[in-house]
Amino acid sequence: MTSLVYKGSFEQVLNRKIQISADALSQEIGGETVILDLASSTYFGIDEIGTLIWQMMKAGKSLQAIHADILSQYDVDPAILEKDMLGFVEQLKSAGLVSVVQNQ
Amino acid sequence: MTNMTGEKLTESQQQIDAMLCRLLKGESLSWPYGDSNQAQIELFLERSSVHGVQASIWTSLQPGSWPQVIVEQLHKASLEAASWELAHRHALVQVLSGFAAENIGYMLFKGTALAYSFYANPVLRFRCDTDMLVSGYSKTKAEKLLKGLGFECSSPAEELVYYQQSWRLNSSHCGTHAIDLHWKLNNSEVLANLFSYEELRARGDEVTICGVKTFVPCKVDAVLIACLHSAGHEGIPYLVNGNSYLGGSRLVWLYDLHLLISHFSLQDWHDLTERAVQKGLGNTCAVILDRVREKFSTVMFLDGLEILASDKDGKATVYLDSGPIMRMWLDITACGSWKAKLAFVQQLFFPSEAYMRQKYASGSQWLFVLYIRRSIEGIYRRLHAN
Repeated sequence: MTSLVYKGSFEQVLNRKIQISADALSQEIGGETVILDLASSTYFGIDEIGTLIWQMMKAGKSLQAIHADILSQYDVDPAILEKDMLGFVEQLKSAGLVSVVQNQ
Repeated sequence: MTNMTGEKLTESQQQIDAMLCRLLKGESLSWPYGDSNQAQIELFLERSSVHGVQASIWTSLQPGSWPQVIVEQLHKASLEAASWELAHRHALVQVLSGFAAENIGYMLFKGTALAYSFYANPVLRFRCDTDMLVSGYSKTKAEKLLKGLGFECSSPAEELVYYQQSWRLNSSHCGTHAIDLHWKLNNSEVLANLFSYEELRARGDEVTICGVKTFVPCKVDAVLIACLHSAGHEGIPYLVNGNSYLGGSRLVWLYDLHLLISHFSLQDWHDLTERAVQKGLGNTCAVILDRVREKFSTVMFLDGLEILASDKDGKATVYLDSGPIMRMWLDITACGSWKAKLAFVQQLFFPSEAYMRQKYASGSQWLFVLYIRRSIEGIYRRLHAN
């Protein structure tokens, strides 16, 4: 199982919607999520914050909306959250689990 | 849970099992033995694995008050269970969609049925396969469909001895996954016709798995089936991690019953007592449900339990209370004609050559050697059941 590490910057994808790959199946357990990518037959594990973001992505929210939601729930520096979120999306993208599909 | 000679669990095993029950009930517990008590730590990990409850208790564990090795092992087990669930569900949804497209009537029962109807998260219901029940008329169509989806049958049907086949899918995406296809609910001749597919389906409930509508037994039938299954294992060993165990007190099964009974109304209790007595399963249910109440303090309708307990002479209960030899005799007598009885005995002791060759593919070319090997294995399994 591969762990996803967050890194990077935020602006490029802020207003875009994230499309989860049809090959990416996910299952939550105890606040964490396991993702199976059928295309590569690889399992990924994401932690609690990653799970929160993943679930909002699955619900069709844009990164901007996810960012706002998390800020309203957690006491976190917006800039750090932006950086972490972009890193997360980049990791998901490079693993083929998501794509950035459209401008909002 | 006892061994073949009826030997009781050790005090330590009983203490650990009691702790597992409290964790399953969601109680907040701390590790009582000290972090360096390696023997108790190993026993806890072994018992939680044997009982099939590692993922369930992980979700109610407070990591700070438990030894690191237990926390890490349960965390690993729950992630593995989630990984298995993902892959198994992917394979299962293809099967269910295929059955629906081909208009093959089926029901899910036991583990997967309960995982998707009574558990907050299907991952929490440990299992190794999915049990599907079809009408005897649909068996051939079901086999054809499973073959078409890439499944391979790993257990040739012995019409009179077994009423189920194990179908395995070896997928590069998802690993190996098994569907147990049943055309009768139980392999015993005495119990096989206790419930028909048609009656279970008529009373069944609808459950949706990944957008696919499927059917599972109603709560009352699910309790009867679960009691039958647990009681059946008092005489038939089951395998966990390659070891053989005997007994119907496996916590994952009893916890299923706790969840089911927790959803019972008074009408459900009425239906349960009526149906259990009608099926000759009254006292079997009373014994198993009493065990559930003792383990999980489940709230039960005591008058209902009394009615169940008073039905001691039901055919199914008499069978399930019998030892292995008497069970075999009752199965033989349950076969209709003399011809059927003889065929049953023949298939029981001397299964077909095709069956033996498939089961012992790498074994001797001499058929009689394979029969001897099968007999020795059967005796060994029974003697070494924990």
